[in-house]
Amino acid sequence: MTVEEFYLSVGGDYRMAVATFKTDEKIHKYLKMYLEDEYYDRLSEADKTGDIHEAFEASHALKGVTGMFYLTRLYKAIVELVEQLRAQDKPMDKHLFQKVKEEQQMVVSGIEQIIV
Amino acid sequence: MNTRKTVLIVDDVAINRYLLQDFFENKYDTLLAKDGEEAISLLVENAEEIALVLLDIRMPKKNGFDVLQFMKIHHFLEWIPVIVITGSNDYQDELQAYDFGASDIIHKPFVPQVVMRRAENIMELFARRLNMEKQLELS
Repeated sequence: MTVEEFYLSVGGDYRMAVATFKTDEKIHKYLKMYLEDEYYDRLSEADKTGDIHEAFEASHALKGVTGMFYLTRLYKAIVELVEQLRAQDKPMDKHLFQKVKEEQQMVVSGIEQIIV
Repeated sequence: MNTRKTVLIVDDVAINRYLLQDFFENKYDTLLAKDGEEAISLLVENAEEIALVLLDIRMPKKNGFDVLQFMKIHHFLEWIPVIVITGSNDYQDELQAYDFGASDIIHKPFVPQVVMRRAENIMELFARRLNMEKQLELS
């Protein structure tokens, strides 16, 4: 799978990713770093523990990271979750988190396919 | 003698730090900080060399506003411009950043080449202003 095909498969914006990172090699390099990024794991852990503050902090950071990669579909799912959590007065919406989880899994699976 | 300017990049998200470093290091020396506390330490240690700070707002320990306040109190803002790079869409955050002395604000997601152009414009303006102030003092 090429980087462009990866972006197509996960509903991302390849054109803007190239504008940001300049080359496919650079996108490749940074996508590898995305796999090591801690914020999704922190969000997932916050879901288990019910820590609303941590859920907001982690989702806000994840929003920034996915935005930089122009992983648009995942980014939009996270934006909804961030807005739901912003007031930090209600538990994380399970449906919104599930949507993030599904999109994240697609992104991770796609990255794993292109870095082999 | 090293004539390259130094840019301090402050962001808790590693990808953002390294991405900016990738673009800036061809022309500038770079220092990286992952939170406000590290940023303040690096500012104190390297104040004479730093020509610009690229500063995230939402960070653990001390945040970007704390760094700006520190820089204002210790007069660093008089010769080191700060560009705030934020993921926030809240205009109050923007106003607060300007109130605290930020020279410019860039929203995430950013295009590094655009950050670079704006950074260079601001460094040039600051250098010109400082030069004019020196000339005025001499005259």
